[in-house]
Amino acid sequence: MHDGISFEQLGKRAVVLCTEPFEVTAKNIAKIMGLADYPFMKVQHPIGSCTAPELKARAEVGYRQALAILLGD
Amino acid sequence: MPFDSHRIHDIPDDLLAAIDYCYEQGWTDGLPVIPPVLDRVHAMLAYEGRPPEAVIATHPATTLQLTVHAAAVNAVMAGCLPEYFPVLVAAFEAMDKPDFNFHGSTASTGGSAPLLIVSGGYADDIGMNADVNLFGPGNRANATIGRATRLILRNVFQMIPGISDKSTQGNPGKYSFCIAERARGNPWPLLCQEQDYPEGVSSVTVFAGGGFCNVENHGGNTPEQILGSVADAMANYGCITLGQSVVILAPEHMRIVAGAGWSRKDAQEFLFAHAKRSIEGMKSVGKYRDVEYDKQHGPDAHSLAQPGYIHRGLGPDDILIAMGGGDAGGHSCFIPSWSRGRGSIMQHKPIGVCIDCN
Repeated sequence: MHDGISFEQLGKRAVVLCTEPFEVTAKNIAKIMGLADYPFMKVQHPIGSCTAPELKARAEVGYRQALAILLGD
Repeated sequence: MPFDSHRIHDIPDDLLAAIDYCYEQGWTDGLPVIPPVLDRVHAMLAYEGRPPEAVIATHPATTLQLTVHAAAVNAVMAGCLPEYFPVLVAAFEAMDKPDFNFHGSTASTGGSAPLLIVSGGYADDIGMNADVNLFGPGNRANATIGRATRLILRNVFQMIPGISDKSTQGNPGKYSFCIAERARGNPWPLLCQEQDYPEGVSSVTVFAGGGFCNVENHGGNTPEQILGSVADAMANYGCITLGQSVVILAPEHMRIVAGAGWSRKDAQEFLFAHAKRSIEGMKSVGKYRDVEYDKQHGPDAHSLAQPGYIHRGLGPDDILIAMGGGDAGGHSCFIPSWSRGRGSIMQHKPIGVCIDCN
Protein backbone atom coordinates (compact mmCIF):
# COMPACT_ATOMS: atom_id res chain seq x y z
CA MET A 1 0.00 0.00 0.00
CA HIS A 2 2.82 2.36 0.89
CA ASP A 3 4.51 1.71 -2.45
CA GLY A 4 1.28 2.14 -4.42
CA ILE A 5 0.38 5.43 -2.80
CA SER A 6 3.97 6.62 -3.16
CA PHE A 7 3.77 5.92 -6.90
CA GLU A 8 0.49 7.81 -7.15
CA GLN A 9 1.99 10.77 -5.30
CA LEU A 10 4.74 10.81 -7.93
CA GLY A 11 2.10 10.93 -10.67
CA LYS A 12 2.39 7.28 -11.68
CA ARG A 13 -0.69 5.08 -11.76
CA ALA A 14 -0.47 2.01 -9.56
CA VAL A 15 -2.63 -0.87 -8.43
CA VAL A 16 -2.15 -2.41 -5.02
CA LEU A 17 -2.91 -6.10 -4.58
CA CYS A 18 -3.57 -7.81 -1.28
CA THR A 19 -5.23 -11.01 -0.16
CA GLU A 20 -8.47 -10.78 1.78
CA PRO A 21 -7.09 -11.19 5.33
CA PHE A 22 -4.92 -8.13 4.74
CA GLU A 23 -7.75 -5.81 3.75
CA VAL A 24 -7.89 -4.21 7.18
CA THR A 25 -4.11 -3.71 7.14
CA ALA A 26 -4.19 -2.10 3.70
CA LYS A 27 -7.00 0.25 4.71
CA ASN A 28 -5.11 1.22 7.85
CA ILE A 29 -1.97 2.14 5.93
CA ALA A 30 -4.03 4.07 3.37
CA LYS A 31 -5.71 5.99 6.19
CA ILE A 32 -2.38 6.79 7.84
CA MET A 33 -1.07 8.01 4.49
CA GLY A 34 -4.07 10.33 4.09
CA LEU A 35 -5.91 8.42 1.35
CA ALA A 36 -8.47 6.42 3.28
CA ASP A 37 -10.54 5.65 0.18
CA TYR A 38 -7.64 4.54 -1.99
CA PRO A 39 -8.96 1.56 -4.01
CA PHE A 40 -7.05 -1.70 -4.18
CA MET A 41 -7.42 -5.25 -5.42
CA LYS A 42 -8.43 -8.07 -3.11
CA VAL A 43 -8.03 -11.72 -3.96
CA GLN A 44 -8.56 -14.93 -2.06
CA HIS A 45 -5.86 -16.08 0.36
CA PRO A 46 -3.36 -17.79 0.12
CA ILE A 47 -1.06 -17.24 -2.84
CA GLY A 48 2.15 -19.06 -1.98
CA SER A 49 0.78 -22.60 -1.90
CA CYS A 50 -1.65 -22.29 -4.84
CA THR A 51 -1.73 -24.69 -7.73
CA ALA A 52 -1.50 -23.16 -11.19
CA PRO A 53 -5.29 -23.33 -11.78
CA GLU A 54 -5.99 -21.75 -8.40
CA LEU A 55 -3.51 -19.01 -9.14
CA LYS A 56 -5.08 -18.42 -12.56
CA ALA A 57 -8.52 -18.06 -10.98
CA ARG A 58 -7.19 -15.45 -8.56
CA ALA A 59 -5.46 -13.63 -11.39
CA GLU A 60 -8.70 -13.43 -13.36
CA VAL A 61 -10.54 -11.95 -10.41
CA GLY A 62 -7.71 -9.53 -9.77
CA TYR A 63 -7.46 -8.54 -13.42
CA ARG A 64 -11.08 -7.39 -13.52
CA GLN A 65 -10.57 -5.38 -10.35
CA ALA A 66 -7.38 -3.82 -11.70
CA LEU A 67 -9.13 -2.70 -14.88
CA ALA A 68 -11.91 -1.10 -12.88
CA ILE A 69 -9.41 0.74 -10.70
CA LEU A 70 -7.24 1.91 -13.55
CA LEU A 71 -10.15 2.91 -15.78
CA GLY A 72 -12.03 4.56 -12.96
CA ASP A 73 -15.08 2.35 -13.35
CA MET B 1 4.47 25.77 26.76
CA PRO B 2 6.46 22.65 27.61
CA PHE B 3 6.92 20.10 24.87
CA ASP B 4 4.81 17.46 26.52
CA SER B 5 1.97 19.67 27.74
CA HIS B 6 -0.40 18.86 24.88
CA ARG B 7 -0.07 15.21 25.66
CA ILE B 8 -1.21 15.48 29.26
CA HIS B 9 -4.44 13.61 29.94
CA ASP B 10 -6.61 14.94 32.75
CA ILE B 11 -7.97 12.04 34.78
CA PRO B 12 -9.16 11.51 38.38
CA ASP B 13 -6.41 11.23 41.00
CA ASP B 14 -6.89 7.50 41.40
CA LEU B 15 -4.19 4.98 40.48
CA LEU B 16 -6.52 2.13 39.55
CA ALA B 17 -8.68 4.48 37.51
CA ALA B 18 -5.54 5.62 35.71
CA ILE B 19 -4.60 2.03 34.91
CA ASP B 20 -8.10 1.44 33.58
CA TYR B 21 -7.81 4.64 31.55
CA CYS B 22 -4.67 3.30 29.88
CA TYR B 23 -6.59 0.15 28.98
CA GLU B 24 -9.40 2.24 27.53
CA GLN B 25 -6.97 4.16 25.35
CA GLY B 26 -5.59 0.92 23.91
CA TRP B 27 -2.11 1.57 25.26
CA THR B 28 -1.41 -1.84 26.77
CA ASP B 29 -0.23 -5.28 25.68
CA GLY B 30 -3.08 -6.82 27.64
CA LEU B 31 -1.31 -6.51 30.97
CA PRO B 32 -1.68 -3.44 33.21
CA VAL B 33 0.74 -0.61 32.60
CA ILE B 34 2.20 2.00 34.94
CA PRO B 35 0.34 5.25 34.25
CA PRO B 36 2.96 7.59 32.72
CA VAL B 37 2.80 10.38 35.26
CA LEU B 38 4.91 13.43 34.54
CA ASP B 39 7.58 13.06 37.19
CA ARG B 40 8.39 9.51 36.07
CA VAL B 41 8.56 10.56 32.44
CA HIS B 42 10.89 13.43 33.34
CA ALA B 43 13.11 11.08 35.36
CA MET B 44 13.36 8.85 32.30
CA LEU B 45 14.21 11.81 30.07
CA ALA B 46 17.05 12.78 32.41
CA TYR B 47 18.93 9.70 31.16
CA GLU B 48 18.96 10.97 27.58
CA GLY B 49 21.12 13.86 26.47
CA ARG B 50 18.99 14.88 23.54
CA PRO B 51 15.85 17.03 23.79
CA PRO B 52 12.46 15.31 24.15
CA GLU B 53 11.47 16.11 20.57
CA ALA B 54 14.59 14.49 19.09
CA VAL B 55 13.68 11.62 16.76
CA ILE B 56 15.14 8.19 17.51
CA ALA B 57 13.47 6.13 14.77
CA THR B 58 11.07 6.57 11.87
CA HIS B 59 8.56 4.06 10.58
CA PRO B 60 9.42 3.58 6.92
CA ALA B 61 5.88 2.85 5.74
CA THR B 62 3.88 5.41 7.68
CA THR B 63 6.59 7.99 8.56
CA LEU B 64 5.40 7.87 12.18
CA GLN B 65 8.29 8.96 14.39
CA LEU B 66 9.58 7.81 17.75
CA THR B 67 10.72 10.80 19.76
CA VAL B 68 12.75 10.62 22.93
CA HIS B 69 9.64 11.78 24.76
CA ALA B 70 7.41 9.05 23.36
CA ALA B 71 10.03 6.45 24.16
CA ALA B 72 10.19 7.72 27.74
CA VAL B 73 6.41 7.56 28.15
CA ASN B 74 6.31 3.96 26.97
CA ALA B 75 9.31 3.04 29.09
CA VAL B 76 7.44 4.29 32.15
CA MET B 77 4.33 2.37 31.16
CA ALA B 78 6.37 -0.83 30.73
CA GLY B 79 7.79 -0.45 34.24
CA CYS B 80 11.34 0.57 33.32
CA LEU B 81 13.61 2.34 35.76
CA PRO B 82 15.29 5.45 34.33
CA GLU B 83 18.68 3.77 34.12
CA TYR B 84 17.24 1.25 31.67
CA PHE B 85 16.35 4.00 29.21
CA PRO B 86 19.70 4.15 27.34
CA VAL B 87 19.30 0.48 26.40
CA LEU B 88 15.85 1.13 24.96
CA VAL B 89 17.08 4.16 23.01
CA ALA B 90 20.05 2.24 21.61
CA ALA B 91 17.78 -0.65 20.65
CA PHE B 92 15.56 1.60 18.56
CA GLU B 93 18.55 3.32 17.01
CA ALA B 94 19.66 -0.14 15.90
CA MET B 95 16.17 -1.08 14.71
CA ASP B 96 15.99 2.17 12.75
CA LYS B 97 18.73 0.96 10.43
CA PRO B 98 16.96 0.11 7.16
CA ASP B 99 18.39 -3.40 6.97
CA PHE B 100 16.63 -4.33 10.19
CA ASN B 101 13.24 -3.59 8.60
CA PHE B 102 11.22 -3.28 11.78
CA HIS B 103 8.06 -2.62 9.80
CA GLY B 104 8.22 -5.87 7.88
CA SER B 105 9.27 -7.97 10.81
CA THR B 106 6.48 -6.57 12.98
CA ALA B 107 3.70 -6.48 10.40
CA SER B 108 4.34 -9.89 8.88
CA THR B 109 2.41 -13.11 9.42
CA GLY B 110 5.77 -14.52 10.58
CA GLY B 111 5.03 -13.31 14.09
CA SER B 112 8.50 -12.24 15.10
CA ALA B 113 9.56 -10.14 18.05
CA PRO B 114 12.70 -8.06 18.40
CA LEU B 115 15.15 -10.01 20.54
CA LEU B 116 17.47 -7.64 22.43
CA ILE B 117 20.85 -8.98 23.58
CA VAL B 118 22.66 -6.61 25.91
CA SER B 119 26.41 -7.16 26.06
CA GLY B 120 28.98 -5.59 28.37
CA GLY B 121 29.19 -3.99 31.76
CA TYR B 122 26.04 -1.91 31.43
CA ALA B 123 23.98 -5.08 31.76
CA ASP B 124 25.42 -5.64 35.24
CA ASP B 125 25.18 -1.95 36.10
CA ILE B 126 21.39 -2.04 35.72
CA GLY B 127 20.97 -5.50 37.19
CA MET B 128 20.07 -7.44 34.08
CA ASN B 129 19.84 -11.21 34.19
CA ALA B 130 22.28 -13.23 32.09
CA ASP B 131 22.02 -16.26 34.32
CA VAL B 132 19.46 -18.82 35.47
CA ASN B 133 15.99 -18.59 33.85
CA LEU B 134 17.51 -16.32 31.20
CA PHE B 135 14.45 -16.01 28.98
CA GLY B 136 11.97 -16.40 31.82
CA PRO B 137 10.31 -13.94 34.16
CA GLY B 138 11.64 -12.43 37.35
CA ASN B 139 14.09 -9.73 36.39
CA ARG B 140 12.75 -6.21 36.12
CA ALA B 141 15.30 -4.90 33.63
CA ASN B 142 15.00 -7.81 31.20
CA ALA B 143 11.23 -7.88 31.43
CA THR B 144 10.51 -4.19 31.15
CA ILE B 145 13.07 -3.21 28.51
CA GLY B 146 11.69 -5.93 26.27
CA ARG B 147 8.15 -4.92 27.11
CA ALA B 148 8.84 -1.25 26.40
CA THR B 149 10.18 -2.22 22.98
CA ARG B 150 6.92 -3.91 22.16
CA LEU B 151 4.78 -1.09 23.62
CA ILE B 152 6.58 1.42 21.39
CA LEU B 153 5.92 -0.69 18.33
CA ARG B 154 2.28 -0.79 19.32
CA ASN B 155 1.63 2.69 20.66
CA VAL B 156 3.99 4.87 18.65
CA PHE B 157 4.30 2.98 15.39
CA GLN B 158 0.70 1.74 15.55
CA MET B 159 1.60 -1.88 14.87
CA ILE B 160 -1.73 -3.04 16.24
CA PRO B 161 -2.44 -6.79 16.41
CA GLY B 162 -5.04 -7.76 13.83
CA ILE B 163 -4.74 -4.48 11.94
CA SER B 164 -1.15 -3.65 11.14
CA ASP B 165 0.43 -6.58 12.95
CA LYS B 166 -0.82 -9.64 11.10
CA SER B 167 1.15 -12.32 12.94
CA THR B 168 -0.52 -15.64 12.25
CA GLN B 169 0.34 -16.99 15.71
CA GLY B 170 2.91 -14.58 17.13
CA ASN B 171 5.24 -15.85 19.81
CA PRO B 172 5.58 -15.34 23.57
CA GLY B 173 8.52 -13.01 22.96
CA LYS B 174 6.05 -10.45 21.73
CA TYR B 175 5.38 -9.61 25.37
CA SER B 176 9.10 -9.19 26.09
CA PHE B 177 12.24 -10.64 24.53
CA CYS B 178 15.33 -9.18 26.14
CA ILE B 179 18.38 -10.86 27.68
CA ALA B 180 21.91 -10.06 28.75
CA GLU B 181 24.96 -11.94 27.51
CA ARG B 182 26.61 -13.74 30.41
CA ALA B 183 30.10 -12.37 31.12
CA ARG B 184 30.78 -14.47 34.22
CA GLY B 185 32.76 -17.55 33.26
CA ASN B 186 32.55 -16.72 29.57
CA PRO B 187 35.62 -18.04 27.74
CA TRP B 188 34.94 -16.09 24.57
CA PRO B 189 35.14 -12.34 23.89
CA LEU B 190 31.82 -10.64 24.59
CA LEU B 191 29.67 -9.57 21.66
CA CYS B 192 30.43 -5.90 22.33
CA GLN B 193 34.12 -6.70 21.95
CA GLU B 194 33.53 -8.67 18.76
CA GLN B 195 31.56 -5.69 17.50
CA ASP B 196 34.71 -3.55 17.95
CA TYR B 197 33.31 -1.08 20.44
CA PRO B 198 35.89 0.70 22.59
CA GLU B 199 36.86 -0.78 25.93
CA GLY B 200 34.10 -0.26 28.45
CA VAL B 201 31.36 0.41 25.91
CA SER B 202 28.38 -1.93 26.06
CA SER B 203 26.08 -2.73 23.18
CA VAL B 204 22.62 -3.95 22.36
CA THR B 205 22.05 -6.29 19.44
CA VAL B 206 18.58 -6.54 17.91
CA PHE B 207 17.35 -9.57 15.99
CA ALA B 208 13.91 -10.23 14.53
CA GLY B 209 13.39 -13.54 16.27
CA GLY B 210 10.77 -15.98 15.07
CA GLY B 211 10.37 -17.98 18.26
CA PHE B 212 12.40 -20.14 20.60
CA CYS B 213 13.74 -23.67 20.18
CA ASN B 214 15.22 -25.43 23.21
CA VAL B 215 18.23 -27.63 22.42
CA GLU B 216 18.55 -30.32 25.07
CA ASN B 217 21.70 -32.43 25.20
CA HIS B 218 22.84 -33.90 28.50
CA GLY B 219 24.75 -36.83 27.06
CA GLY B 220 27.12 -35.19 24.62
CA ASN B 221 30.58 -34.31 25.84
CA THR B 222 32.38 -33.14 22.69
CA PRO B 223 31.92 -29.94 20.66
CA GLU B 224 30.75 -32.00 17.71
CA GLN B 225 28.01 -33.67 19.77
CA ILE B 226 26.81 -30.48 21.42
CA LEU B 227 26.92 -28.34 18.30
CA GLY B 228 25.62 -31.22 16.22
CA SER B 229 22.39 -31.14 18.20
CA VAL B 230 22.23 -27.35 17.81
CA ALA B 231 22.77 -27.66 14.05
CA ASP B 232 20.00 -30.22 13.83
CA ALA B 233 17.60 -27.78 15.50
CA MET B 234 18.70 -25.03 13.10
CA ALA B 235 18.08 -27.29 10.11
CA ASN B 236 14.61 -28.54 11.03
CA TYR B 237 12.26 -28.29 8.08
CA GLY B 238 10.09 -25.74 9.82
CA CYS B 239 12.98 -23.36 10.41
CA ILE B 240 15.57 -23.82 7.71
CA THR B 241 15.88 -20.76 5.47
CA LEU B 242 18.64 -18.47 4.27
CA GLY B 243 17.98 -16.28 7.30
CA GLN B 244 20.30 -15.49 10.18
CA SER B 245 20.37 -17.37 13.48
CA VAL B 246 20.93 -16.68 17.15
CA VAL B 247 22.30 -19.45 19.34
CA ILE B 248 22.58 -18.96 23.09
CA LEU B 249 24.86 -21.62 24.52
CA ALA B 250 24.25 -22.71 28.08
CA PRO B 251 27.34 -22.52 30.29
CA GLU B 252 27.34 -26.32 30.58
CA HIS B 253 27.50 -26.64 26.80
CA MET B 254 29.96 -23.77 26.49
CA ARG B 255 32.37 -25.48 28.87
CA ILE B 256 32.42 -28.49 26.54
CA VAL B 257 32.81 -26.46 23.35
CA ALA B 258 35.34 -23.89 24.54
CA GLY B 259 37.02 -26.39 26.84
CA ALA B 260 38.09 -28.32 23.76
CA GLY B 261 39.71 -25.18 22.42
CA TRP B 262 36.97 -24.13 20.05
CA SER B 263 36.61 -20.42 19.33
CA ARG B 264 33.39 -18.64 18.38
CA LYS B 265 34.53 -18.76 14.76
CA ASP B 266 35.11 -22.51 14.96
CA ALA B 267 31.62 -23.01 16.31
CA GLN B 268 30.03 -20.74 13.70
CA GLU B 269 31.74 -22.65 10.91
CA PHE B 270 30.69 -26.01 12.34
CA LEU B 271 27.09 -24.90 12.68
CA PHE B 272 26.94 -23.50 9.17
CA ALA B 273 28.50 -26.62 7.70
CA HIS B 274 26.12 -28.96 9.54
CA ALA B 275 22.82 -27.03 9.60
CA LYS B 276 21.70 -28.16 6.16
CA ARG B 277 19.12 -30.14 4.23
CA SER B 278 19.45 -31.87 0.89
CA ILE B 279 17.69 -30.55 -2.18
CA GLU B 280 15.62 -33.73 -2.25
CA GLY B 281 14.62 -33.25 1.36
CA MET B 282 13.63 -29.65 0.77
CA LYS B 283 11.58 -30.72 -2.24
CA SER B 284 9.87 -33.39 -0.17
CA VAL B 285 8.29 -30.71 2.03
CA GLY B 286 7.67 -28.24 -0.78
CA LYS B 287 10.22 -25.68 0.43
CA TYR B 288 12.85 -25.92 -2.28
CA ARG B 289 13.38 -22.87 -4.49
CA ASP B 290 15.98 -22.57 -7.23
CA VAL B 291 16.54 -18.91 -6.53
CA GLU B 292 17.49 -19.61 -2.92
CA TYR B 293 19.83 -22.42 -3.85
CA ASP B 294 21.48 -20.23 -6.47
CA LYS B 295 21.90 -17.43 -3.97
CA GLN B 296 23.70 -19.74 -1.59
CA HIS B 297 25.80 -21.49 -4.21
CA GLY B 298 26.54 -18.64 -6.63
CA PRO B 299 29.89 -17.01 -7.33
CA ASP B 300 30.06 -15.53 -3.83
CA ALA B 301 29.19 -18.78 -2.07
CA HIS B 302 30.95 -19.58 1.18
CA SER B 303 33.46 -22.38 0.84
CA LEU B 304 31.54 -24.47 3.41
CA ALA B 305 28.34 -24.42 1.34
CA GLN B 306 28.05 -28.00 0.11
CA PRO B 307 26.68 -28.61 -3.39
CA GLY B 308 23.31 -30.31 -3.32
CA TYR B 309 22.36 -28.86 0.07
CA ILE B 310 20.58 -25.81 1.45
CA HIS B 311 22.35 -24.49 4.53
CA ARG B 312 20.88 -22.20 7.15
CA GLY B 313 22.11 -18.68 6.34
CA LEU B 314 24.61 -17.56 3.74
CA GLY B 315 27.70 -18.19 5.81
CA PRO B 316 29.05 -18.70 9.33
CA ASP B 317 28.84 -14.97 10.09
CA ASP B 318 25.06 -15.26 9.85
CA ILE B 319 25.10 -17.21 13.12
CA LEU B 320 25.41 -15.17 16.30
CA ILE B 321 26.57 -17.25 19.25
CA ALA B 322 26.61 -15.98 22.82
CA MET B 323 26.58 -17.58 26.25
CA GLY B 324 23.71 -17.27 28.66
CA GLY B 325 21.77 -19.14 31.31
CA GLY B 326 22.37 -20.86 34.62
CA ASP B 327 25.33 -23.02 35.54
CA ALA B 328 23.39 -26.27 35.56
CA GLY B 329 21.62 -27.90 32.67
CA GLY B 330 22.34 -28.98 29.13
CA HIS B 331 19.80 -26.59 27.62
CA SER B 332 20.91 -24.19 24.95
CA CYS B 333 18.60 -22.57 22.47
CA PHE B 334 18.27 -21.61 18.85
CA ILE B 335 16.28 -18.54 17.85
CA PRO B 336 15.18 -18.70 14.21
CA SER B 337 14.93 -15.56 12.16
CA TRP B 338 11.70 -14.01 10.99
CA SER B 339 13.42 -13.38 7.70
CA ARG B 340 13.59 -16.24 5.25
CA GLY B 341 16.48 -14.51 3.50
CA ARG B 342 17.83 -11.01 3.89
CA GLY B 343 14.52 -9.33 4.81
CA SER B 344 15.86 -8.39 8.24
CA ILE B 345 19.51 -8.31 9.21
CA MET B 346 20.47 -8.10 12.88
CA GLN B 347 21.93 -4.78 14.01
CA HIS B 348 23.72 -3.40 17.05
CA LYS B 349 24.39 -0.06 18.68
CA PRO B 350 26.43 1.16 21.65
CA ILE B 351 24.57 1.98 24.83
CA GLY B 352 24.60 5.46 26.26
CA VAL B 353 27.37 6.80 24.05
CA CYS B 354 27.53 8.30 20.62
CA ILE B 355 30.06 6.80 18.25
CA ASP B 356 30.34 8.18 14.74
CA CYS B 357 27.13 10.14 15.22
CA ASN B 358 26.15 12.91 12.88
